Amino acid sequence: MKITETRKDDVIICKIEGEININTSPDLRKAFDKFIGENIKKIAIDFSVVPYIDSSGLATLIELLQRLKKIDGKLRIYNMSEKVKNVFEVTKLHKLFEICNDEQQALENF
Amino acid sequence: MILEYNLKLSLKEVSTFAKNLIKKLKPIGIDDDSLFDIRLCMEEALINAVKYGNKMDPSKVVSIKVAVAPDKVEMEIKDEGQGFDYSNLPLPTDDQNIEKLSGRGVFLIKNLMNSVEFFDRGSKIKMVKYLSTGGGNENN
Repeated sequence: MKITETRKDDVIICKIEGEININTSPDLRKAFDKFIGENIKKIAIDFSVVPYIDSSGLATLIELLQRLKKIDGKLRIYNMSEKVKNVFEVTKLHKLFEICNDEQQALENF
Repeated sequence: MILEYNLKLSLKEVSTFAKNLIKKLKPIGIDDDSLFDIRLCMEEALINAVKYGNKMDPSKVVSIKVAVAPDKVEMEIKDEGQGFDYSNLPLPTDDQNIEKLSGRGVFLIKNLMNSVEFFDRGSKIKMVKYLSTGGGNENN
């Protein structure tokens, strides 16, 4: 898994490249720890190169959302493939997360 | 085609096993959407078997059987644990559970597979995915 971060004003755009599964979730959690440690409150995650997510990946994202909520932060996820989006829809997590179509929509009024 | 394995799997090895299984199924001509669901459900079932069934005991075995027919893929996973109350699992989509960090594995399997049955008090799961060319009862 490769994680690239780009800063746009007070937003971190986090591009994840690779699968989010039980083996890669710890790396993702470390990146999120770093963002929270730097007092980043707005995170937009680019899912365009995430071909696969499992239940541990979902849990890692829920954990980040909970941590951001505690500091009045926000999380948006965009550019999901249809199959990955289906995992969010089946588990009804598309109602918990702000899922956007693209970067422009994700950064709008963020 | 029938594939059978008896493995002392660790959690770290689950993903590699499932990926290798997909590599074997892909040349048969199974569509990518079905392969995604098959892989995800195989991984979720194996994680449950290793983590909750065998309680991460490296001496315990997970038995896996995959039977591929033109219209369906059947997968059976059995662990050496005591089973669990599969008929009384909390719904992860309920408001009080939606932010919980666990409890989605079996739910995903039930929703992405066409048929799911438990045996031996829950220590064995059988799941079936019908393939789109076979005219099965697709959920998606």
